Amino acid sequence: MRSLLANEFMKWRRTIKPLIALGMYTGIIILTYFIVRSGDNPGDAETFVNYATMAAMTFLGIFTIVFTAEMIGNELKFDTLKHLLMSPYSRDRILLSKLVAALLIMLVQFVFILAVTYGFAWTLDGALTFEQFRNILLSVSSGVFVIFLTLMFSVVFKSVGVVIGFTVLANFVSTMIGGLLIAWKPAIAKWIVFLHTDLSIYYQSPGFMETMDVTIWFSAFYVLIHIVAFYIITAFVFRSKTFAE
Amino acid sequence: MLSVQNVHKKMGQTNVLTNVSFDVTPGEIFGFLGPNGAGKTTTIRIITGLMPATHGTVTVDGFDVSTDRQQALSRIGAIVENPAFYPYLTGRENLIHAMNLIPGLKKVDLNALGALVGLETKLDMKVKQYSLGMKQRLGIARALLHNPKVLILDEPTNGLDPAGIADLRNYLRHLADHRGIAILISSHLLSEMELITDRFAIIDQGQIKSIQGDGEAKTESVILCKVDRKQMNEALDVVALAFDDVKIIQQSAETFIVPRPETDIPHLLKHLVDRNIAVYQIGMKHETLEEQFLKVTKKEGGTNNAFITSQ
Repeated sequence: MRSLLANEFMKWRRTIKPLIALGMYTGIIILTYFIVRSGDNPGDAETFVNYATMAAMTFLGIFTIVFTAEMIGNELKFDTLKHLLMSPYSRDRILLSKLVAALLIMLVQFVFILAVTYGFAWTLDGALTFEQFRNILLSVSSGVFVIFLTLMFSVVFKSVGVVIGFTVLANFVSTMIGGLLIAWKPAIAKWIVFLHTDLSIYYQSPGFMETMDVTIWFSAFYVLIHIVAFYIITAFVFRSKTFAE
Repeated sequence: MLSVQNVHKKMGQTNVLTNVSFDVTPGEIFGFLGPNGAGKTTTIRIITGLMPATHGTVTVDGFDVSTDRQQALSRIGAIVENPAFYPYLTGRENLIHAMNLIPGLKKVDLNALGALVGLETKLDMKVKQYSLGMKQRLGIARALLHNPKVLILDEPTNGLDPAGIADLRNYLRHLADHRGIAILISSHLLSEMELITDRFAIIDQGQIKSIQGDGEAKTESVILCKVDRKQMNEALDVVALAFDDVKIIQQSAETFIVPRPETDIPHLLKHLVDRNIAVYQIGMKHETLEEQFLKVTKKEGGTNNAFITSQ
C-alpha cells in the first residue's frame, strides 16, 4: 500500500499543478492580508484568518476536484490504467490507494494554507481563538465529501473535464436548489446532502441549519452514509469495468 | 509455464473467444498471429488479468490468474497493445513507478536495465521526449523489471527501426535461451514472427485455427521447378510418372511445384533431363508464415482481407 501511495504522490508532485495551487493559495492569502490591513480601520488577526481561510478553502475545493478527477482520468488519458490493473495488486487496493492519496494530498494543501495563514496572522494584532481553528478544521468535511463524489464520477466518465464539470455542477445546482428550498420547504431541503457537507456552518451560521431542524450529528451521519454509498458504487464499477478502449 | 485452457469469452451475445487453448513452455518463443479483431488482444487481456474469461483457465507457473492473481501476475511481464507511460515523468521515474507495483520487489539496477535496452543515456529524459521506438524499449525494460517467468509482448516491433528489430530479436532469443523465459508475442509482422518464434498459433474469429511447429518443421517446403514453357505439359507428365500420389501444382506457364523433400531433387532432375526437358531452375521453396497464415484463415472462411490491407 505504501508503494502505491508513493506512486500517487510521485505522479502528483511531478506536474506543474501543485505548484500553481500552492502559489494561488499563497497569493490569495497575501492579497487578503493587505486588504485587511488597508484603510483607516484595519482588521485584526481573527478577521484576517476568517477571510483568508475562506478564500483559500474555496480554491482548495476546486483543486481537490481537479486533482481527484485526474487520479483516474489521467490514467485513462495516458492509457496507463491497464498497467496498474495488470499489477499483482487487487483493484480494490489500487482504488483505495487513490482515495487515500487524494485525501492526503488535500490535507497537505490544507496544512499549507493553515501554516501560511497563521504565519501572516501572527504579525497582526488581536488574539486567535480555538473556536475559529475548530471551524476551519470542520470545513475540511466538504473537501472529503467532494473527493468521494469526484472519485465516483471518475470511474464512470472517461474525460477529466466531464468529471470536473459533473462534480461542480452537482455541487452548484444542489446547493442552489437547497438554498431556495430552505426558506420554502425546509423539510425537503434537509435531505439535500450538499447542504450538510460543510460542518463548520453549525458554528458560523447556526440559524441556517436551525431552519431545517437538524443537528451537527445528523449532518455528519448523513454525509457519512453518502460517502460510504459513493465508495461502494465506485469500488463496484472499478472492480467490474474492463476499461478497454 | 503459461497455460491457456478452453478459454471462452462472451461479450453481450457475441462469442469473442471460443475454446482457445495453447501452452508456452520455458525457453520457448510462441507467436500469436491473427487478423485484426481475431481475438489476440482479448486473449492477452485475459492472460494479464485485465479481463475475466467467461469460461476456461489461464495459469502461470501453476498459478491461476483469476484465483491466485498476485502469484500469477507477479510472474508476468507484459506490453499490452502499446507501451503506455506517464509522459511528464522521466523514463527512470516510470520504471520506479512500475517497481512499486510489484509487491516485495528488491532494488533493481535501473542503469543496467536501461543499458540492456539501449536507453542508458536517456533514462532521465521525460518520456514525452521519447520516440515510439524508445518507448518500446522502455516498455520492454519495464516488462523485464522483476525477472518474469512469462513475457507477453503485443506488437513489440512497432516503431522500431530494422536495426532495433534485429536487436530485439536477438535479445528475446537470449532471454528465452539463457533465462528460460516463456515468451508470447503477438504481431502482424509475419516475416518477423517467422524469424523469431519457435511455434505459433493462428487465431481467427476467436478460435485457434492451427498451432504450427509442434514437433515438426515450422514451415512446409516444396520443390520448385522452372522449365521451358513449350515443354511444360511433357514435364508435368514426367513428374507424375516419377512420383506416385503427388499433387503437382502448376504455378505459371513455366513453373510448377512438387510437394516433396529436398532429397528428391536429384531423382526429379534425372527424369526431366532424361526426357530432354530444358530445366532452367530447380530448388526448394519454403512456404512462408504468411502463406500458411493466409491458407489457414482462407480455408476456414476467415476474414483476412483487413490483414492483407494492413500490410
